[in-house]
Order: sequence, then C-alpha cells, then structure tokens
Amino acid sequence: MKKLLLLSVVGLSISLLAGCANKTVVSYGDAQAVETTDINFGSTDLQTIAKQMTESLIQSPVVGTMTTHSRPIVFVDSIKNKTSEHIDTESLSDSISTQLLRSGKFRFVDMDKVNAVREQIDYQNESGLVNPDKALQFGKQVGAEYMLYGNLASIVKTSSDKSDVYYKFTMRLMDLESGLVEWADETEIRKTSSKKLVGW
Amino acid sequence: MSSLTFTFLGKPYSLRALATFCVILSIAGCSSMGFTELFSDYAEQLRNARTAQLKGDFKTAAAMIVEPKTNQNNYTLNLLEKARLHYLANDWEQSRQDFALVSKVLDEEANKAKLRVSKGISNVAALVSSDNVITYQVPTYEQTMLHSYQALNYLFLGKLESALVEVRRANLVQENALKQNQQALLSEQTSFDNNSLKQAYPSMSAMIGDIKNGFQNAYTFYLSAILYEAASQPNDAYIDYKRALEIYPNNHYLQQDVLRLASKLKMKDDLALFTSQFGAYQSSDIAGGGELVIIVENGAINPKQEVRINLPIYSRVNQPRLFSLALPVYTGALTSYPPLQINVRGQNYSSEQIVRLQSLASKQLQEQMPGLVTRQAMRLAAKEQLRSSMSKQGGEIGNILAVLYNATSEQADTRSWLTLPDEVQILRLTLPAGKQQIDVRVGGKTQSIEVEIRPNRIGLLNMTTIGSFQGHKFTSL
Repeated sequence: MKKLLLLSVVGLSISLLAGCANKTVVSYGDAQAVETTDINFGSTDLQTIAKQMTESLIQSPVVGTMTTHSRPIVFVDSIKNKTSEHIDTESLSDSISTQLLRSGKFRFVDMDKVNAVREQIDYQNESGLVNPDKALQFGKQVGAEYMLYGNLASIVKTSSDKSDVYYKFTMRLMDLESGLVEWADETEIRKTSSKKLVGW
Repeated sequence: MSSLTFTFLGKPYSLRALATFCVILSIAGCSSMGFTELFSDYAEQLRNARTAQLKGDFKTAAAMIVEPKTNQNNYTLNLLEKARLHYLANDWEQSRQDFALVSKVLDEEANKAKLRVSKGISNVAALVSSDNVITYQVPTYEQTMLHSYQALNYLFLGKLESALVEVRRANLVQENALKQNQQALLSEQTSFDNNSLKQAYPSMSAMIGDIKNGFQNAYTFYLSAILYEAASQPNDAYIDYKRALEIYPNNHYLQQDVLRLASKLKMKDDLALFTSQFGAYQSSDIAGGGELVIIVENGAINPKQEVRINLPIYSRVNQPRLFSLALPVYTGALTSYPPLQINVRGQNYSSEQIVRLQSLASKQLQEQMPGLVTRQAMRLAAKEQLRSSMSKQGGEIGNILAVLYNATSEQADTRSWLTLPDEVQILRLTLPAGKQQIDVRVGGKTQSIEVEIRPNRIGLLNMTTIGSFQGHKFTSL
C-alpha cells in the first residue's frame, strides 16, 4: 500500500509538472538542414528528390543535344502519389520545375493557370475597356513539346521495435509529338527508425 | 504512522490517508477525465447523441459529443464519434479533419517508446479506479473503419488519389494486426485460471458467428478494390477482391468480381480454379454502360454491457480467493437486416453482407479478455489493500468510505466507437450510361434515387439506414 501510494503521488506530481511546463519556443532554422523529426515523408526527402532529378535531367546527354539550339517547352503533369501517406506532390513538381527553369535550359507552360489566362484575354478583348490595339490576341500561345511526369511509391514495414520505409521516385520526359520517352530516372530513399526503449 | 493528522467527522486521519483521497479525486484532473466519466459508463454518456443519430439528426448528435481535447483519455474516441456523425451529415470536410486528427494520434502512438512513463502513470491511476482512466486504445476494426470512412470522405470531396492513400493505410493496419496477433498468441501468460473464466464469462458466440479474428475487414478490402479499379489498377483491385472473397466466400458479388478480373487479367490458373468453384464467368457488360456499386450501412453497433462475475484469483500468498470482477461484454444476438432490392430490366438484385462490425467488435473483445482480467485482478488486490489500510487508520468511517469508493469506481471499460453501423452490405450491377432513376427497396419502403452513370466508370451509392432514418449519397469515381 505504501509503495502504491508513493507511486501515485510521485506520478501525479510528474504529470502535473509536465502539464504546467508548457512554454512555446520559436526559433529559425536552416531550410536545407536535414530533418529527422519522424519517419514520414519530409522536407529533406523532397529536396533530395528534386535535386537529384533536376541534376540527372540536365546532365543527361539526350537532353544536352535537345537543349543546345533551343529551349524546349515542357508541361508538368501531376506526380502520382502511390504511397500510404498524404504527400503534397504538387510541391514536389513545383520544386523540380523551378530548378529546371533556373537552369535556363527549359521553358514551361502552366496548365493550372489556363482558366485564369483565358479570363484575362477574354476581358481584354470583350469588355470594351481595353484598347483593342494593345489587347492580347487569342491563338498566340505556344504549345508544349514535352511532358514531364512521375510516380512516387513506397514500401512500409513495421515491427515492434522498428519501422522501415522505402521511397522510390520515378520521373520521365516524353516527347508529345512522337510519344517517345526521351529520358527517365529514379531516386530511392530508405529511412529506418528504431523505437526508444523508455520514454515519456 | 505520521504525526501529522487532520480530522474528518470527528475522527483523526493521517496525512497519508488524505493524500490517497486527493490522488483518487485528482485522477480526474491529471488524466483529464470528467467526474461523470469515472462513475458512469460510456453508453450512458452517449445516450442522447445516439437517440439523435437514430432519428437522423446528425448535426445535433455531433454537437452532443464531448468537445475533444488532446489531454482527454477519450480524445480519439470522441473525435471518431464526431467524425462519423459529420460524415452522416454530409459534412465531409469536417469529418475528414476529425479523422485526420485521430490518424495523427495513432501514428504518434505507433512511434513512441516501448516502455512509457505516462502509460505507467495511467496504469497506476487505473489500479485505484478503473480501466476507464486509461487512454482509449483504438482497436484494429475501428482503425480500418476510420481509414475506410476517410477514403469515402476523400471520394465525396473528389480526391481519388488521397482516397487511395487511405485504403493503403487501412491495408497496413490489417497487415500489422495480423503480425501482432501471431506474436500475442505466442506470448499469452495469465495469472488466473483460463477455464474458470470461460465458464463464468458469458459466451458471445451468438454475436461472433463464424469469423476467425477481430480485425480482418472484407469491406475495407472491397472498398480498396473498387477504388483501384477506378484508378485503372486492375491488378491491385484483383488482389483485394480475392482477400475480401477469402473472408466472405459466399458473397456472389465478390465471386463475380474475382471471375471478371481473373478473365480480364488472363489469370489462367486462378480462373480455372474459380470457374470450378463458382461457375463460368458471364459478362454482364453493356456497350457504353457503366457500373453502380451500392454500399448499404445498416443499424448501429451495440454498446458493451457490464457483467459481474466471480473468479478465483491467486493473490500474493498464492491462496485462490473469489473476487467479483466487472467486465465488459456484448449481450444479445445479431440483428438480421433485410437486403436492399433493386429491379432493373426485369432482373432482381439484392444486396449481400460484406462485414458484420458487431461480430468484429465481439471477437476483438473476446481476444483481449485475458489481458483485461489480469489488470482487473491487480486492481482488486490494490483496492482491497486500500480498504484495509483505511479501515485500520480511519476505523468504521474509513472502511465505509473505502468500500463505497471501491464499489462505485469499479466500472467495466465499456468504451467503443458507438456511431458505427452494425453491418455493411454490397450490391453491384451494370447500367446504361446517363442520368436515371432507380427504384430501391430497403426496409419495406421503395425509394427512387437518381444516379448518373458515366461510360466505363463506377458510380458509388452509399445508403444508410439507422433507426427511422434512411439516406443516401452518390458520387462518380
């Protein structure tokens, strides 16, 4: 009984202390730093995938010949999420297209903004408010020649003391006219987390 | 004995006795459990919400659930109840958010250390009160249903890809449960006589039926299969149809699905095997037509009841003593629901069962019974010590107080996700494309429902019958 009582009192005090010590600390960190908060898909995975894919695409000899005399126009199709996590794959494709644009070798069309563009050109031509000589004309846009698309898949295994997750990201560049896949590459990431023996 | 004393009703008490009472009373504070929760059972707390649910007034029912806060021991449970009611009320976004919070907690739980101080504390608290103070552990069948409803939420929000993520998570839950189940069976150790438990504890076989375990949910497999089909992944769909068929081998719709995909994917060996079992596959395709899948949810799952049984328990001196234990149990028999019927082009279709959640819940409870009884036995011993020391220190009044406390706090843990349906049935048929009215006969009433079938696509109709309420939602995959 004494032991039990002592345990209860100690336990209660600990839990009360833990409940009260609830200060929030805010600090800035390095956006490129390795993040290992948990095993789920995180910023480091996103950065690794985007970096490796862009480098591989730019350094590929086929793409080298393709981009020597022109800057091919590419559209990015959505990246398919085949994992068991909710991952913002749009953010991943954004990172990849931004880095490719930065390299100066490709140009992009943004399919997400087609409606907004149409509305704007409609307004310029039909509202009567814009000088017709200066209004943008329909039918002057340039179509994409290539399509960039990808898949993100994962295999998750868990046991009582550790979890393991393996991500495989595959990306391809297709010539829209011929239907040929001009370039493809994949990135693999493996993460393992082992459970602590004792914790709160 | 401590020299510090205080007096209550004219009797002197030691500081230690005061501390004991403070601890007991402040359990409500530290593990964030309301006073009512300590002394009343879960079904009682949910009675009003359930009454509203049976009338189809889901918004009111959701408002009656205790507002979930992260430090409550019923945090996940309250979120689950709320999320399900929001789903029924067609508030998919709110339901999605609530389910996502539960998923987050479950993910965090899964990654925490194996031996945890906080768990130890709540177990100590449970030792002097009841299992109700332990943080609610979401059982596997509830986790699979969580992911299934979350998948449906995403479907109604028009996000097939996210819905697929949820069904993959549901599959992971079932795989892990299978692994853990095998390990648990190997390491089962108890401090009491298993046979006397079997004799004293009411058999739930009428509720369990012939299911083999409490976690394999054919409905989840079926849902994931139709989602994979909608996402043009027939191979993945085929595997899940086969898993569902393993659990429900007599379901004709599953048999047809397996036959259809086996012939489509040219699985020669499988096709020969299934043809010999279920007959040759006859295509019911209509040129340019689409499919309609109806998921019918019937009734509401029963709450656990409390049963008091006497069981010999070996105490420290190893003398078996008879103790009265309060244990949760499911009583009664399974309700049978008439199938939903449709007549299309002169042909009758009626729905067939794909999961009986009541049976899963009963089986799951039966599986965890040895662990429950062990904890109960430890608690009884601790409470008996509390009583004897209080009676030594406080005489008659101390004794009476302790007996009163012990009797009122001894409550079976009857918590479970109560807004779930009792069972789910499915029906599948091919229809010509376009908007059309179908006459659905369910629960003695005929309802005309408008569905829009798109060519080569699957339309999903989710029907719910609870109490006097009948409702439906439709989406095209």
